[in-house]
Amino acid sequence: MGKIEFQGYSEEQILAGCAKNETKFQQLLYNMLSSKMFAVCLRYANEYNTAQDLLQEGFVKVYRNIEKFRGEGSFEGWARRIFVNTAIEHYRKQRNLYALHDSDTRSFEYYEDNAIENLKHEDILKMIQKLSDGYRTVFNLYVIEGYAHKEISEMMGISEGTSKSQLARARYLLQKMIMENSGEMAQTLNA
Amino acid sequence: MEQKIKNFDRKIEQMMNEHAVAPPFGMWNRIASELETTEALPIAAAAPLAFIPRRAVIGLVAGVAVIGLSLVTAYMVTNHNAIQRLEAAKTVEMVASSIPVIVKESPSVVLEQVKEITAPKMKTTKQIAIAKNTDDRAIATETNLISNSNNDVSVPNQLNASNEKGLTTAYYFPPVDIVSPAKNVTEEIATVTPSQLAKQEADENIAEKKVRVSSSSNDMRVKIKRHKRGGFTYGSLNRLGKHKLN
Repeated sequence: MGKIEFQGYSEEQILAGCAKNETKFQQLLYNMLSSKMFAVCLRYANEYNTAQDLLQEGFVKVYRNIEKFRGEGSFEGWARRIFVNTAIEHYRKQRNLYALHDSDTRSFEYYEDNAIENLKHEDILKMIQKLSDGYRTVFNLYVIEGYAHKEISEMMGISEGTSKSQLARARYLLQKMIMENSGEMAQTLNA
Repeated sequence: MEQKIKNFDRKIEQMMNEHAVAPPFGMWNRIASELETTEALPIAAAAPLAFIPRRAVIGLVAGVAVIGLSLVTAYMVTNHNAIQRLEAAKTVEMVASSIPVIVKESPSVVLEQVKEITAPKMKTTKQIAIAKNTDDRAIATETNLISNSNNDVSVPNQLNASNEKGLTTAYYFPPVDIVSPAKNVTEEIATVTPSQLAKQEADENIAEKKVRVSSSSNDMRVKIKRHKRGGFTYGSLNRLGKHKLN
């Protein structure tokens, strides 16, 4: 595990400074992680302003609980979990999750592997943001963060079946949006 | 199919994990200001707790609550008593008002008739004496007249007699003539008994009534006409003047 340095300070120095509530080191940590964490917040939020709120709330939690980090694993991964939990907490209050029993995978028969390669990061992000809160959260947790359905069900307070059905529906909707986007792109190229 | 799904997930994961977006300008200031306020709050909150222990605060609050409750209860009890008293007074008033007041209507018509009948009648000596509360002089004169006929006979004085008997009301003492026992004495006055007098008065009343009821050319006849619909109308009565009725 390589040593991480940022603006002449090692990660340990920055964390030690944050633990002493030194503003200089707190700002350094913010500059080090803010871009990646904001991307995480944007994936879980359905709009830009909500993502900003999540970023602010997440960083405050990181600074308050920085002493609890024991050095096991990467600090970035630890901080990321805090942001993800903040986002889940935010959407748990306004939950509109419901069980879907039709795990619709038929659409993947028409899905082309290379369709997604033509898309940019921003395009995928916009498509994810278009999903409903439940679909989006489960998709992010399972596909991007790598949690199992059991963990997701515990984190979100839903059943495993609901988690699976939400994921299947999220995949179907995303694939549909990607195919539509690629079709529009093909029409544009042909024209 | 499953492979397709796995590929889809992996590609999206790669794209998203590589993705980084710069936060908006001024975000750090927002976070820093929130950190300052949250750090300052616990110090400010801890100050009052250091002076007063928690147990004392709880006890104080409990005491205030008990005193407040007792005051409220006392107020409610006193108010309740007052309300009860008021309600009792109201009940008495209501009972009093609900009792039917029996008004003995004065028989005005009858009294008037009696007055009219009795007014022109000649009163007996006894009635006059009672009405005028037994004039002393008149009695004295009468006794003197009697006594003049025979001075030797002692005639009892009415005043003395009434005073001796202790009578407060007037009393007619009948004159007594000792010289001529059965012939010249005006015994007729004394022989009129109250029952006869009453009978006479009653006869006179009947006669008077007959006079009033009897029709004459001057009297107005009051006819109560039956209405066509079946009711009675008293319109003619109301229109009559008082003088016409009399």
